[in-house]
Amino acid sequence: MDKKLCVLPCNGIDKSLGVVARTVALKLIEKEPEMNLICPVLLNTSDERYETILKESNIVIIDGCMTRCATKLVDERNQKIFKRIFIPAMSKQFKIKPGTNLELNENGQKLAEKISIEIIKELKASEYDEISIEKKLEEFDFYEITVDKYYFQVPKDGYFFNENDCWVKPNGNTALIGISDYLQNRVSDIMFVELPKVGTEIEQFDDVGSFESVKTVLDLISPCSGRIISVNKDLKEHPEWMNQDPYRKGWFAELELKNFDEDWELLMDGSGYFKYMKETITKEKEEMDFKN
Amino acid sequence: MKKKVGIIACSGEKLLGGTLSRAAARIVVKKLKPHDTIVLCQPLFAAGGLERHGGQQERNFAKEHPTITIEGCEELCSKIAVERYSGPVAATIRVDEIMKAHPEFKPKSREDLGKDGLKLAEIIAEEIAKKVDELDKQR
Repeated sequence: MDKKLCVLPCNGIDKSLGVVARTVALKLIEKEPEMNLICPVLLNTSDERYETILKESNIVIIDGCMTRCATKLVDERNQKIFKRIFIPAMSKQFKIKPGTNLELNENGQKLAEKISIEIIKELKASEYDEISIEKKLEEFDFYEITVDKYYFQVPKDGYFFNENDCWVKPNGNTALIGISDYLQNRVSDIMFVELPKVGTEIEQFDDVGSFESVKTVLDLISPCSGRIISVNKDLKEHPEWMNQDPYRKGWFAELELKNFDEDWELLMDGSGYFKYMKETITKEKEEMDFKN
Repeated sequence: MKKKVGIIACSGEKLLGGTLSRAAARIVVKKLKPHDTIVLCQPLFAAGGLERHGGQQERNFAKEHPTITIEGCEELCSKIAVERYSGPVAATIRVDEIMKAHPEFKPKSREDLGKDGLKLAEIIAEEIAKKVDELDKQR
């Protein structure tokens, strides 16, 4: 290796993806002992320890999930980036699902090994990645609630919801559909999507495709009837957008509406859905407390 | 409704104590006190959460709930982080001290705790669970 390199994994504790990130980093320093390992925790509390290393090195950032903690820790500094690794994207690339267990199973270990080999290959080739900057989207007003450490949002206007936690955002005779913030929180990191075929006719409450997270596979239940006129193909590459921005970049499909005047009667507006969602969350929490 | 207790492990990458703290936190949250505790992800705590959600979820939780930090070494990274972003901690568990008190258990490595290491993680987890009970009595 000509240039000094260091690796910063997110090191997340509460998701298997964070454990994969950590394992990749440990495998990297095992394969390339001259590579420095940066502990994200120590970097946060005592960053002067790493001052020299960071100044002299390019960095490999490994993010386990869509909150991209490692990236955030580095973006605060003016650091040269060699490579950014996003574990869900690598899982998709290698077609290996790490599972949900926080002690990595065989697949999780295999995935970590493959990612580390891939990074080493790139190190040898010394190719630098472009850093992509996400486009800022318009802001709008939300109803918001925090339960324990979880935070849920519902747009105040323009969206209608069914009891399956899916939304429709009508615009004239067409509409976008997607999943709510509550649902994306419940399923956790979404890794794969199965989009519907353009041209498919659907009825209200039909399945219009599915998505798979680290925890489960679910169908998106359409809040309205109509014909699919387009799908969000970007989700194939960026399924995490359904987590990061479920009401905008995470839209799933676009429909030509068939009978929205009637469909609407079985839906809730933002205010109604927020109340419904709060009741659901409270009930779940009470059940948990009762079990205790 | 009873307030849950936050468990934040040092999760340190570079030392055995970090691996033990992670393992112990998981045992508490999944096995010993699943309904009384919630794990706070230390890197997420440090970096802040999703911007769309205000980026403060873990930190706000620790502001409003009693939080126990589990420290892998004398750096006390979790305690420092909680005090910096949220406020005083409810209790601190020192993994290095528990390791010293149980020299009979010799974990295999930072990557793989092995049988002894897992036993040690159980002991640490029981200490944390005791603290959770103590906090519960105080409330």
